[in-house]
Amino acid sequence: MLAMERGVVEEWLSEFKTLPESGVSNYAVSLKVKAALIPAIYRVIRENDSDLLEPVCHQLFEFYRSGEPRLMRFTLQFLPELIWSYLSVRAGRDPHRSGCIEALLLGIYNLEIVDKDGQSKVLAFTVPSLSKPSVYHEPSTIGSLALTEGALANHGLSRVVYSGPHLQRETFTAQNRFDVLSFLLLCYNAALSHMSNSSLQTLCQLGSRVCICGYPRQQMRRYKGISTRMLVSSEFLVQLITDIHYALCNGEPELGFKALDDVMYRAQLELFPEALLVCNAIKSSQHGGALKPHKEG
Amino acid sequence: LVGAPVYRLSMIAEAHATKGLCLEKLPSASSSISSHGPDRDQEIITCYEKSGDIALLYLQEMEKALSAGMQNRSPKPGPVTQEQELGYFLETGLQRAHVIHFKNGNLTRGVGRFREILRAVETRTTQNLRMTIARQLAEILLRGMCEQSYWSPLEDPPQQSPLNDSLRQGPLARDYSLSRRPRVYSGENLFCPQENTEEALLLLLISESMANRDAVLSRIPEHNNDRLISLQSASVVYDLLTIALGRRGQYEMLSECLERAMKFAFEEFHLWYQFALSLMAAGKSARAVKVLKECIRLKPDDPTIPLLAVKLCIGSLHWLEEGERFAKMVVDMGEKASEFRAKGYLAIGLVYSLRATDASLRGMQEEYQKKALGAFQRAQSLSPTDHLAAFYLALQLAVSRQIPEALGYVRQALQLQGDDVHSLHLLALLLSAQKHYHDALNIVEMALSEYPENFMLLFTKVKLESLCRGPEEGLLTCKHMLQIWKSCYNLTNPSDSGRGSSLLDRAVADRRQLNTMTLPDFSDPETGSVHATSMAASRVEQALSEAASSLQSSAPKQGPLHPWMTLAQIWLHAAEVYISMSKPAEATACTQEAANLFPMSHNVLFMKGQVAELRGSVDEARRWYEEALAISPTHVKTMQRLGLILHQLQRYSLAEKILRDAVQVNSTAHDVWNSLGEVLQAQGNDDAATECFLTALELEASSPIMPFTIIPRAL
Repeated sequence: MLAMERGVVEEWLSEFKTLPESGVSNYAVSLKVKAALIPAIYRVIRENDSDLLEPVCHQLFEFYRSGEPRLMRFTLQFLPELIWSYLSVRAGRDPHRSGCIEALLLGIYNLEIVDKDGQSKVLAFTVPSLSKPSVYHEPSTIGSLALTEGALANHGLSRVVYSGPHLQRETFTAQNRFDVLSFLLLCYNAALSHMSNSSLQTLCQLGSRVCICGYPRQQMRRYKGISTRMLVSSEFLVQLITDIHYALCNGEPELGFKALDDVMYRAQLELFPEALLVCNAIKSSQHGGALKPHKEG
Repeated sequence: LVGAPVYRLSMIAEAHATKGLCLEKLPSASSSISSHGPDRDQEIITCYEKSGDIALLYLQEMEKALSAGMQNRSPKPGPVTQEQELGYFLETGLQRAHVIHFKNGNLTRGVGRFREILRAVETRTTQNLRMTIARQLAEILLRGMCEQSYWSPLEDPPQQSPLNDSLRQGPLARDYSLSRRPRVYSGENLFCPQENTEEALLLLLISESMANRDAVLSRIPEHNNDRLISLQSASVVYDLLTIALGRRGQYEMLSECLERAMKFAFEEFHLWYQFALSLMAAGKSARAVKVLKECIRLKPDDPTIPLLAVKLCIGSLHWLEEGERFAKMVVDMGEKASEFRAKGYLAIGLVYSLRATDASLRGMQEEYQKKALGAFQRAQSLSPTDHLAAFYLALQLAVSRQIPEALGYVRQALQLQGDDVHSLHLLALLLSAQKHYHDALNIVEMALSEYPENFMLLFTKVKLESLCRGPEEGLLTCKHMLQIWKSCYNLTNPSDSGRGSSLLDRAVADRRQLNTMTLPDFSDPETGSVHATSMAASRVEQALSEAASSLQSSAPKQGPLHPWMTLAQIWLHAAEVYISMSKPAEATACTQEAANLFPMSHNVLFMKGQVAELRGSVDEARRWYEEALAISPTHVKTMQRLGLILHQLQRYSLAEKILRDAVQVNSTAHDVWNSLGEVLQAQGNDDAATECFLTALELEASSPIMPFTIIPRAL
């Protein structure tokens, strides 16, 4: 790591400590201007053996804990890189090295699973029903709905929980690893519009690598990192694809398609119906996609 | 606009649109671009937006006038009003404004414009336009927005949004007002979406209903083009629905939606495949297999599809013959299946392995075991880096009691995938078969540090602990299991209501039905539910696992087991430990807990028999065992105990018959061989008895603490 990069990171580490409470939001805005900082932090996370890693992780956690949305997003942009770093170090069987990244990921998770009052957070959404009037329609104009069992059961609007409540986690285990990571990707997903393209790129790389490491396709992609197969869960892949879908449509078509292909390849090998379903839908809708929303560069 | 005749509205709208078009055509170079560019854009947009609003108003007034006129003049339904077409200018007015917004990178206003058009009450003429716009807006919501950048249709857009091009910040709101605006949907309790997925879903459901209404299904050649267009637009809507519902884990609802797509699906692979996958994800296995068959017919070269079918067949369905057919398809593809070839052999190996377990004749069992072994070896040589191939090879060797060989392969599997819980479990069982109980316990404890909530491992732990460290330790683990069970399934939140809100609610609802069902055996599946003779039990298991898998995805999953089955198993294990401690009262209490959940379970009845034996009431024990066998005629443990009781009662020939049957069911149960030996000896048949004792001795030397087959075999 270059001395200059080191300097940038060290400066960043020290300035937040001396910041008065009132200056936080101005400081958060000013972070955007520091062009050299973000690549330098990526470098620290990637190199993994830097002595700066621990203070950096600590500071990123402090940012997240501050509750200031801009600072939280600043941390969140590194999430894909952090997850990859954690997974690859784990696969490399040198677990003690990933200690501080592990702590950071668990820290974010434990903050996100509770609401302001410390109660378990339950993420729910309302399933709209055509039989109830909405801002966009009137039931009478829809005409006859198919009277299926499902249609009857969903006659009213129903709230459906899609995530949570989650347990606090103090350590990663093989059993909870992908539950925690899937939930973290869900948090990342909620802030996707604020993510820079460099973050979206790391997301696509995460998707590709998790799925192909140790499989014949790894040679095809010429990725020369670790070559141990990583266990994945179907839910984790679905979250990954959802995020990749956004990257694909917002400035990262090339990496996005590659990642989508790789996730699909893995979903086929694992015979995961959920992931295959969403992959197929994205692929097919992409062919007919006429309108692409704009995204700042 | 107020009081203007209807036709004037149309003219005003057209005039505004025309003005907009003219302004766009004007060469902008004439004035200085930099300062006037945005202003001019704004002027153009205002023209179009005004034109659009008035056009909507005009169309609404038109429709009102027409229907009023129809009612006045002809009481009978007259000829249907001819399809109104939007003129070029009106259409431009409605379509151009948002296009310019998006071109300028002003996504918030573009979305706002979409919503304004959609909120206006629909008229016959705007149906097509609405369908297109609803779909486009759904696309934007799903592809370009996230929860944090979302604002609801009734809110003002955020002042600053990451969605907009920061370099070209346009005005955020429209800068004109009209004296009359098109009517919008109104009323009390109007549903207004609060997040992007909700709004996307609502829009897609509306589009879907329109797409279905206008569907062209006719296959005559003249309609081919129309049919393709209608298929395409429906297909896009269903893809977006899949994306929206998939990210929220609502596969049950998705499968219902995709079912409605099936009317378009004749010979359309994509729709069939998606429907099959959604059924699979929703846990509707039996239908999924049937739909997958159609997919295979449409695309016979894709190895994934038959493999998915095998996965379902050897899972809860237990359709082994069908599974074998599907697996053979993959194997028959040969080189064409490339990376899936190994998977094909794995699949067929699993089918044979399960059939071996089911077979009631020893010759059949051995034949299937041999076939399974061959298939796993093939899979392993084709894909030496796949831990599953090595693992199943090890498991198959273990089942045929080739313990040292099995150990070699399970170690290989663990080298490839050190985290795999089943490999660790198998390793522990293999060590226990070699009577290295302490090592086995160490392995189980290590595995539990990575999988603290895995009940399978915990059950094995209870057994090993009782053996190594005394029954008290085993009881502590049982208590620990009850705590885990509670924390896993009792995560209820009182504030959330509605369907699928908590696993426990669902489970409680299911429980009433469960009372009349039997508890499928899983501590000893060699002789239990999956056996062909107890199909009823297996059907229950299927129903339960379908119910379990249809619970929301975020629910904790401990394998395919239903929570209540797990709870009953915990109580039964505790009862067993108490029996080994000769504490009938406590054992009865534990058994009663299980009986409250599953009164008709053969496991519960068997345990009651054991308690009765412990108390010394042989007649009562015999009654319980006979009841257990009435429910599950091939439960080997019960057969063995009943055989022994009959032996005590000196009814030798009946005892011999039952024990011989038990040996047929499971030829590796050493205690059955031993009991059979005793019975034969009592009858004076010493030679045969000796042979049985020898067999028992030999089997005992390689017998694990729990049957190897408790380890699930699934793709």
